Amino acid sequence: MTTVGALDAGALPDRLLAPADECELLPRATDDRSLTAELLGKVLQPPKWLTPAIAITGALSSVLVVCVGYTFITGIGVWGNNIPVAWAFAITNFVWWIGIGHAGTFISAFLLLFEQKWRTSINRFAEGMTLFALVQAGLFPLLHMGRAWFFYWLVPYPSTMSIWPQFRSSLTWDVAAVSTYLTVSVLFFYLGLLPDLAAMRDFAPERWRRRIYGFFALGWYGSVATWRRHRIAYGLLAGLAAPLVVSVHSIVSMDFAIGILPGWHSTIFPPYFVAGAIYSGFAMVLTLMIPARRLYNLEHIITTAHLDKMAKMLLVTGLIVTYSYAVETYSAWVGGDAFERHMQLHVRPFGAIAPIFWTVILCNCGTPLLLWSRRIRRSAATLFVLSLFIQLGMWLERFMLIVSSQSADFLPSSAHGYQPSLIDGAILGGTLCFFLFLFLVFLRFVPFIPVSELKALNQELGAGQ
Amino acid sequence: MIYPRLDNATSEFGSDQDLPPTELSRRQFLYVGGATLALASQALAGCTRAPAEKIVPYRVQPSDVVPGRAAHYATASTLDGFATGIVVESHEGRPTKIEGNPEHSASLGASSAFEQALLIELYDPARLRGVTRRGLPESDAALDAALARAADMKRAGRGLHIVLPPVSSPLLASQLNRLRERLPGLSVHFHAPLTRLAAWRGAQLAFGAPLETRVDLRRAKVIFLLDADVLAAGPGHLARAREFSDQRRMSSARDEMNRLYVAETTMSVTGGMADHRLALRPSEIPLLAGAVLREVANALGASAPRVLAQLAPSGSALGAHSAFIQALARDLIRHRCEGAVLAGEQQPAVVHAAAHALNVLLGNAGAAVGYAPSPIVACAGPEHDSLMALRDALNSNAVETLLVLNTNLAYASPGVFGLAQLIKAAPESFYLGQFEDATAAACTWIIPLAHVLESWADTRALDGTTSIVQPLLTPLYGGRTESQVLSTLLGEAARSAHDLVKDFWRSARKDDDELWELSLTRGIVEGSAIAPGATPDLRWDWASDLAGTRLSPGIELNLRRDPSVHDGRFGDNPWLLELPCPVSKLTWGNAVCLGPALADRLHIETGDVLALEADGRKLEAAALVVPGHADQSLTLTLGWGRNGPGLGAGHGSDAYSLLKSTLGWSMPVAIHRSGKTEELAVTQAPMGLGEVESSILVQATLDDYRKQGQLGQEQRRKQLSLYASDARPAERQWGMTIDLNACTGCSACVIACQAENNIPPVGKSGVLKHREMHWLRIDRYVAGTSHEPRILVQPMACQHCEKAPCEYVCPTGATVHSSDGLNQMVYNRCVGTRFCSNNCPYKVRRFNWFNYHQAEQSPTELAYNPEVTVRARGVMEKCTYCVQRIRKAEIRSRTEQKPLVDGDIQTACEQACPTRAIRFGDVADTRSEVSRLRASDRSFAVLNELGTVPRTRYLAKLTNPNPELA
Repeated sequence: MTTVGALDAGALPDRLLAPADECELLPRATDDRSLTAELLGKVLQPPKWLTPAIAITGALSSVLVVCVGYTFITGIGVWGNNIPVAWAFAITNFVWWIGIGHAGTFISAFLLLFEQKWRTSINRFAEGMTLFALVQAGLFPLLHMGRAWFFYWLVPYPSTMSIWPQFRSSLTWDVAAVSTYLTVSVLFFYLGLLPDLAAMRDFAPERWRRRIYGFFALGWYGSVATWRRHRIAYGLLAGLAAPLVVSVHSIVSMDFAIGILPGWHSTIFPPYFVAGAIYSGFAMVLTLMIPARRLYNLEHIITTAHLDKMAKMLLVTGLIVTYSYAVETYSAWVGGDAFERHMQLHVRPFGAIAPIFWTVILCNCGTPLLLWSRRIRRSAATLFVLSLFIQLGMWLERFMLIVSSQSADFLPSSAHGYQPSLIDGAILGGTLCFFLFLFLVFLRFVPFIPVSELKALNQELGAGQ
Repeated sequence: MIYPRLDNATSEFGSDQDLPPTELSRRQFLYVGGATLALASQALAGCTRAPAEKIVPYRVQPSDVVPGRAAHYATASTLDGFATGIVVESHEGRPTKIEGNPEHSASLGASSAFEQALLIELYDPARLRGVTRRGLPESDAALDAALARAADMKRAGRGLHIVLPPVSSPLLASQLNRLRERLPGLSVHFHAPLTRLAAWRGAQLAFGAPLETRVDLRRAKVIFLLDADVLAAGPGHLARAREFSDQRRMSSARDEMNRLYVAETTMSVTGGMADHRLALRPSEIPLLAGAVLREVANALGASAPRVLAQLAPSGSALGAHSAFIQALARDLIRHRCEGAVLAGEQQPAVVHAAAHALNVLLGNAGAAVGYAPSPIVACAGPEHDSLMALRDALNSNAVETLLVLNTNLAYASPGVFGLAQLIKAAPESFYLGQFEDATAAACTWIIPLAHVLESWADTRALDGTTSIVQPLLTPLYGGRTESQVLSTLLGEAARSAHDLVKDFWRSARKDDDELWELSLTRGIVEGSAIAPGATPDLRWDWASDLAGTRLSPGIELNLRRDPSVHDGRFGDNPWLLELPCPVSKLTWGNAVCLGPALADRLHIETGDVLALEADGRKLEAAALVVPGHADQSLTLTLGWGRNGPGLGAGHGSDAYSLLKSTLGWSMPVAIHRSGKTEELAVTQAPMGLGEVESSILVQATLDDYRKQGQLGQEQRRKQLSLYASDARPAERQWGMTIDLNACTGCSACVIACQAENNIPPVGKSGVLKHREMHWLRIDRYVAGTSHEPRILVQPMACQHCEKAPCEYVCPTGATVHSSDGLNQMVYNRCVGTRFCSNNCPYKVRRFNWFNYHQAEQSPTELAYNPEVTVRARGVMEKCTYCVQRIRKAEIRSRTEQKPLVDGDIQTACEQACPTRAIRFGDVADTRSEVSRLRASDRSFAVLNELGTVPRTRYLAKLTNPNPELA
């Protein structure tokens, strides 16, 4: 990929999408003004359900606050973790949430670089989702530490004692990867938002709103020079963000792959985790977008064609994940390691964790096969249900992978299962509520469809006709 | 070991008196400062009584008292009347660790979990704190007056009953004698639930005298045990374990190795070491003893009585085992004069007699086995079996005053006697005890008992070796000793326990101060051992009784000593409550143990609560399926299911409630499933090693070892590594070897490690969550066939890998390698990501899920080893190879300019180990013991293929099966 291509994306002919498909991506004969009015109006006049929904999710998020506080004060003994299963829900949640974030970056960066027009309607959704998922994800590495108040010891800072983190540990790589990812994601999100914030400033009826949006619009006035710089910066950030899609989850996977545990110690982990991340991320985008699209009457903006494309992404990444499972099992079978064989061919498929293993196979390998059907790909309700299955499957996959390897590693004497505590469940539920809360707040105050980009696309496609 | 010279202290340092009284000299400061610390514990208890004697023990020479430098004192602990010599480490007057006394015959330097755990008992916050009468505090003077009334001369002791544990103490014996003279009507009852009565009676049958069997297992090449757990229980078991393992060192394949046959109902520690083990129902064991006796007598053509002919195995219940019996008999005969046959304390007297007969016939008596009088007072007398008489006396209101000294009579006695109720009904009763137990609840007067580390006393070991018990500190709660109470009864003017003991020895032995102090210093009284005499003539009149024993129909219940709480004596000890049973790995409770076959037949699973009914007495207890249990029988251990306060109360089921008589250890029982289930805190489910056995635990038969010449070669192979070796290794490189052929799995090391390293217990809920903190655990695997399962044990602590997988995953560098080869844990730097634990293939790292130490009640913290950091919440911890001991020895070697010698540094586990299976030392020194063992052709590294290069190496386990039984 070249960034040059991204800089003047509009100028290059699109070879990747059939023109007929493109037509579905936008409602024809909508002019710029009405597009602006419609899309910004959805923010300025929010639907009636939104405020109560924010209140409810906000209230439920307090469960998270309470549980986190309790854990912090008492110690992580309030969780179900034990020795040997020292990592369980927290790390599962971390990997899952951060994986979900990946779809957002993939949509906004990769698809931008690959000049996929269908990203336009959904990229802000996806980016918002990324940020909020990252907020949830970031909570867990901190919280799961025995002494969370010393988290900064993982950060390489010049301390007076000249003590540095231990760089051979993948956890220090994690810190770098995740914090880079968070920074780039925030910048990317904000940069893309700037023209729309300016539009909000210009469009909002009340003075106070104009002031606030104006403050965040950083003085954007839409000159050609501004647009040009914006385009360059956006392309550059996309170039920065794209490798992060691959690197962050690769590094997260190394939290396991550099370990010596059977079922963890595997070179397939980085690609396998990246595919899994994008897989679950697209599922989450669908989970959020399908109801939002319905509730906000956006079927003409986020069209069936968008759903179809995302479903295809699910199909592809789902098949990669399935392939990874197969390779993992196969290499355990042909490899000479008795412990690895025991893990992959006995503990996971037939041990105590087997019900979870087979649920994972069903959700992650079975579900995408349905997406070969065009009818299913274009059915919003079906896709919504499937996306929930995939997310459940991906969460359980990480749980199964993390817990099973620890619970039965080398010495049979130290084998022991894992039972989550109520607090474990409440924290996971709490992050879901908090995530929804942040997302609803985002819908309430931020133009969640990129108006300016949509207008540009509209011009471009309309001009083509 | 230095004995404090307290009484002379002032005269020795008389010059202090010349100083102006207002000034505090350096010497006085140290004196006062040290004493303050020692007495601070008194203040903790809110006890204002001034110490009666100057017994602050460390003042050898005040100028020599360096705060921070520990002193060691020899004393002795007593269990069921028998002594084990101990050495107690004391920091500024605060005992912090107990070790075995190398000079004591029952210890040889080793200690069991019980001795180790006496320490935490001393600081138990639940100890009784002052004299009470009917729950209200009373003065000592009132108590003395009450005791004096009870021992009123006019009544000549009629109606006065004293119950105390079996007595080996010469002082107590003399006091009791004098008391009997003074009060002829007095009744004395010796009570220990796990009495040796059957053994004494067995000797009485065989020899006409209640002799103790004295065995030297070093001289026994073939050992046959009839339900005798000699390696882990009973008087002198530490020494027996040493002797036994000495015959299993196998420094080369050419060495000789003993062979052990065990017949028992439930798998014991000793049974786990057996080369051949027969799981028999309790009523089958006498039959087996008789069958073997008959076989041996026939083969030797001895003039055994004809009744033995009835005991032919063919046709009897033991028909299936006739091959075993014949092979065993032949093996015993082949090794005439170099064998030993022993019966367990809970076997009936005839089985003991049969064992004696076998020893005499085989010529073992006089060789490995000897017979000597018991150090226990009056062991042939009726006082040892007089609980029934006591019950009758209580029932008929013939007891006016009952004195229960240091035994939890109301709980630890046959349930049918109903002693708890009867004691309560007695007009006046006194209880000298440690805890608020059932007896305390039943008695009118409660007198706090001085802990052994607070007591002056004397006690004897099985071989008669006498020790003076000296205290390490003044009683924390004003406790009295048994001798003090008896002294009050004798009407003597109030005297300290110190004076009682010292005066007794001065008059009994014409002890001068020097001899007295020597006894205290060494922990033994020179020349006090009883030498085994000539073997008396064997009688045979019991043989018809043996021949007449019948197999019990139906399912039998077998009541047994508990490996963690003994008879309930240690039922509140947090360390022991959490010590996994060596065989079942059960903690915090007992359970009805049964074999897999019976469990399958009755559809019982571990955790099912069973309703037991024996002769109308009922009990509910959870089931636990264990390997190697005899079919058609169940085993339940004593000491659990207590009511009332206390840490151990409410856990498990009370086996005493099923006990009908003092010796009724087995009984027919009916079982039903109650439908309820209970979660048992088992740390390791029974499991085999499967296909990974060769990576984890190398074992072979002696023959295979001799054929192959070496074992575990694959597990010694050098692995390639990407990681560089230490560029600047230190001169010394620490390492450990654990000889699996010597280790019995007795678990003394687990508690020794806990005591040394300030390891907190986590409670039953913690164990259920699998959060035990033990740095050293004993892994237990099941091997062998389902017909004859064996257990394999493997102590597992940090292996101090040279290429440690925990180190490279720690993000903060909190676990690092030292140049002398230790895998170190820097608690201060640990943030608790637990990645190290995940990446440890041995899973020996422990995490502080909570602030465990904060939850401990005062004065438990006084038990902490001041040389080991108390870990806070959120940090990882693990075995350090007792780095504090290494550094202390290194510093001492440097300051005293004496080079470190091999053996100078002992880790806590090594020091406690009865079999010396654990050895620690410098692997860079080719002459060290540990280097020699590492070079053994049996040595191997666990999970060698991972390339972790562990510093702890194991020596392969061997078995020595009889070729005839292969």
